[in-house]
Amino acid sequence: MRILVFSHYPDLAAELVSAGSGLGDVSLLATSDMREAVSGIKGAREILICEGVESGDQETLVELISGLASDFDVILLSGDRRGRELVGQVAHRVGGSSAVDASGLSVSGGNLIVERMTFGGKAIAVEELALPAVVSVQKGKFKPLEEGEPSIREISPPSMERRIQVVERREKPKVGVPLDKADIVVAVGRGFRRKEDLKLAYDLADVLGGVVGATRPVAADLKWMDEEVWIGISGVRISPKLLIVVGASGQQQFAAGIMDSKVVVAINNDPKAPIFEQSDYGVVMDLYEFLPVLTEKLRKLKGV
Amino acid sequence: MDIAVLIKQSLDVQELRVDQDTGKIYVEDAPTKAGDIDLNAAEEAVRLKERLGGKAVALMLSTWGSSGRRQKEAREALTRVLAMGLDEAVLIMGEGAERADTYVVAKALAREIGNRFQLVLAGEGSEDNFSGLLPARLAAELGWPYVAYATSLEVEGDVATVTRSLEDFEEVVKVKLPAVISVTQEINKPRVPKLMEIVKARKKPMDAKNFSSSEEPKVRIRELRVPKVERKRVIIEGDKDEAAEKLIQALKEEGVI
Amino acid sequence: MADFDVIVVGAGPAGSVVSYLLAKKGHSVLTVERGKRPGAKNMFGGRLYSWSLEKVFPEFWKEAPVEREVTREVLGFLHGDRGIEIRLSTRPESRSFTLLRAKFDQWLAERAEDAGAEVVPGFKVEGPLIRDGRVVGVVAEGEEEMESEVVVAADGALSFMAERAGLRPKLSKDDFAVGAKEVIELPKEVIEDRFGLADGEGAAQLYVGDLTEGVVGGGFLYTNRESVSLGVVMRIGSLASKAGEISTSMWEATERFKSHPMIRRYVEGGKLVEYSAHMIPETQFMRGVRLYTDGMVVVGDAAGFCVNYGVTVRGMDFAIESAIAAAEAVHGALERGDTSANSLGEYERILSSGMLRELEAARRAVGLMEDERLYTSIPRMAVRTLEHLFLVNGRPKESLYSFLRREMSEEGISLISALMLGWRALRSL
Repeated sequence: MRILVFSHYPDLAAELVSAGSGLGDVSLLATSDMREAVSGIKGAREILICEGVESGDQETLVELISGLASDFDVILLSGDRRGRELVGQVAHRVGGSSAVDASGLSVSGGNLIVERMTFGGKAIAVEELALPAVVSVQKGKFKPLEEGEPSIREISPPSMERRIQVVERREKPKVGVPLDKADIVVAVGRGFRRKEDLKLAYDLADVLGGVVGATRPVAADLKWMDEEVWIGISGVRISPKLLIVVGASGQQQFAAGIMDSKVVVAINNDPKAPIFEQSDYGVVMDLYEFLPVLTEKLRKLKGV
Repeated sequence: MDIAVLIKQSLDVQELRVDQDTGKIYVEDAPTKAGDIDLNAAEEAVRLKERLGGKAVALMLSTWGSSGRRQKEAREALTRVLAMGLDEAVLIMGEGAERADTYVVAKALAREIGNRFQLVLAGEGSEDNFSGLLPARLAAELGWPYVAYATSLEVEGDVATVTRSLEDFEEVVKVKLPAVISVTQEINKPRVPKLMEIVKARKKPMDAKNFSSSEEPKVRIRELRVPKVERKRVIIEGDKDEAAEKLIQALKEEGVI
Repeated sequence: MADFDVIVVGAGPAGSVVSYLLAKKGHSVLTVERGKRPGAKNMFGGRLYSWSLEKVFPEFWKEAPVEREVTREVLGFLHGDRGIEIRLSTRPESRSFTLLRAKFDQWLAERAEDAGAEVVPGFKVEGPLIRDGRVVGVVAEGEEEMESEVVVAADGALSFMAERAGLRPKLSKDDFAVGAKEVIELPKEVIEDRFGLADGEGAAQLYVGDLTEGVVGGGFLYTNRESVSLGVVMRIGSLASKAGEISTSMWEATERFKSHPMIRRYVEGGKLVEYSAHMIPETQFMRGVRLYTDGMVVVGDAAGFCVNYGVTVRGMDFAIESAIAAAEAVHGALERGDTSANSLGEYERILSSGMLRELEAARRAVGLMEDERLYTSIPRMAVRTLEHLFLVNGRPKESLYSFLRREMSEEGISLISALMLGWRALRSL
């Protein structure tokens, strides 16, 4: 089976190569501005470099990938917004099947079998995709390979009429270590009564060297924090070593976003909150009482 | 300018019951409703229409079978967006639709859209599946440009200026209409219809059409199962000092601090 | 011109039946329901006596989503881990059914819709719209005013419609009992086996005893098709006087009830799929309620048409009967073009000749059940007496007579009053 992979992010491209190598021969596609960034990625049979196309140019990417598709059975893309955006367009252009956010991939009976989370995290669907298939892969599910030096092949850009023009690009303010890469995360929910009180969570995160994330109500509805830190099935999915959930009830869509955490601690004053079911350690207490004590003790322990 | 708004009949996942022990997922029992972000798309359509004139039409292809209950839910979901100010609704349902995947649905909706509309708006995903595949496929089927994740939208003449939100940056793009644009929840705050608007919405035209398609779906769901995560579920007792000590001890033993 | 002939607030059984009947007569009806769907907010009321609804929909059980027909009545006394059950197998001429409100209310609301009523769920009505001392419509969520010739308040026990129209005093928590209910799922065959029922047959079982720790109240079990409704009702006044947290005591009483060996065997291995706690109106407070005013009538629980038997609550049949009367009166008033209090007063006149009498009788019976001994001494004595009767341990046994005398003096009850109490209790149930 022949697999084409592409991502705007080199680290995700490496994961895709790994995911694809379980299915067949992998060709990694990169635009010329990514030449350096992908040079260290191992495990692909070849790297296709397209001169004259810039990685931010989604419209051309659709054209480029769709044009290459006839040589491939499966096209893997990454689960970030731009990756997902390509899936449906490319799939339809090549008359193929599609799925997003695959956590598992295999081949059976001439079909691609995809496992993915659905129903807001309440279910895992196993889907049979006819070939050719275009699929985005969930971040963090496949470990980059350490061996296999790819050959490099230069390809030429597609010729096309452009209908979308990018007139401006604004960096978003950085939020430090991205949530999905953090080892320690403190997640805050509606148990905090005021925005200013989130300081209690930041203090705890500081002591532990972690970052702060939020449930959907806090990030998207109350807008107390940036939307980038919204943890959940349709926000960021995290996989820290330690997650401390403070004042969040544990709604299903949040729960689905924290599933891959190693150790989960819940602090909530409602003993019936579902979050306790999803935690390794639970403290049934008012966060306003408990957090300062916990932070202080950790501070002494760490000597900071 | 006439606008089509895609309204997904989304499973209300909040009310979906799953049984951790038996692994049973009670999909049939759960109600359906209009996708949350589809309401933002509807709101944006109403605002554009108020400014620029023309009609805004809701399109739904129901894939939950054609039982009386699912039909009723579909109509209620459409009534809701009509009450927000959309002018008409088209509801496509019938035999075979429950097997339709995004490939088949995109083809069917494209036939409905034809060249009647200059703009198609959709939510970036619906809470039951959150794939965002449909608007992308629809754009490809229609041969129209596609812009996703819109957080603001302006239309002047036949050009739409869209701000779209990506992980690391925002992008402002200009796109020539006709186009398909998917919106995020940040784009606006959907209005809450008044009682009288709901009552009147029920009298707005709702065109029920029979689903027919010669295309075979390309995706088949083989299995649905309940994800399992085993947690220790230890409740730490004691006053705040004791609890904090015990928790720190436990986390040390886990090797995470 | 008013927006509608009639606005009905609430799509429970009373609201839907009144909407159905008036829409069928050709009036324009808007029915507004707070819950996401009709029945979504009504966890209580697991049993319906069919007599009133039959008048509207003859043999409704053939179509409506009822669970089982009650053919088994059980009265139980619990004391410690022991207990007595008195079983009556019956098929009375007037039937009763167990049902799940979420499904049943939905069905009734659909009947109203089919008849032409506009049923809008998920919408809150803030109160009546009052102009010049007359109800002329409702104020909906977001300060929206909707006008109608007549408003029917069918908004349940906590009716703010009736309260804001000045038809009843503000309620205090002493006016309520609390009920907790669990729905426990079990396979159909298991239910039929454990309760000894045939397909479609159902049981209604009531228990008194020390599970409520001396508080007036008790436990109930109703069989549904594939689940059992289990719950506890307790008088809130007496609960409050115990200064404990209401929710905690309710929860504990439910747990005690559920884990009693006699009850446990019915629900063992079942899956808890629903838990709810509700306020249940006491029967007494309704004496001060007026049923109508200019432009408005009050029906069902909102009018206090329910009887709390201590252990169980009966209200749906009265609610439906009051809806039938209200529909008749409102129709008449609309035909006459006079929706004043005087004209709508026909409602009470219809009720007075029928239902109100039965309600009074039921309430008198309940009055007799206020006696706390019914929930403490009687169950205890009953259990101990039977135990004594069946005791065989190889030693000479105290005569039943002397045992009873000793027991009664311990409980401070005379034989006569014990018999009277028992008799009254059984009669009023």
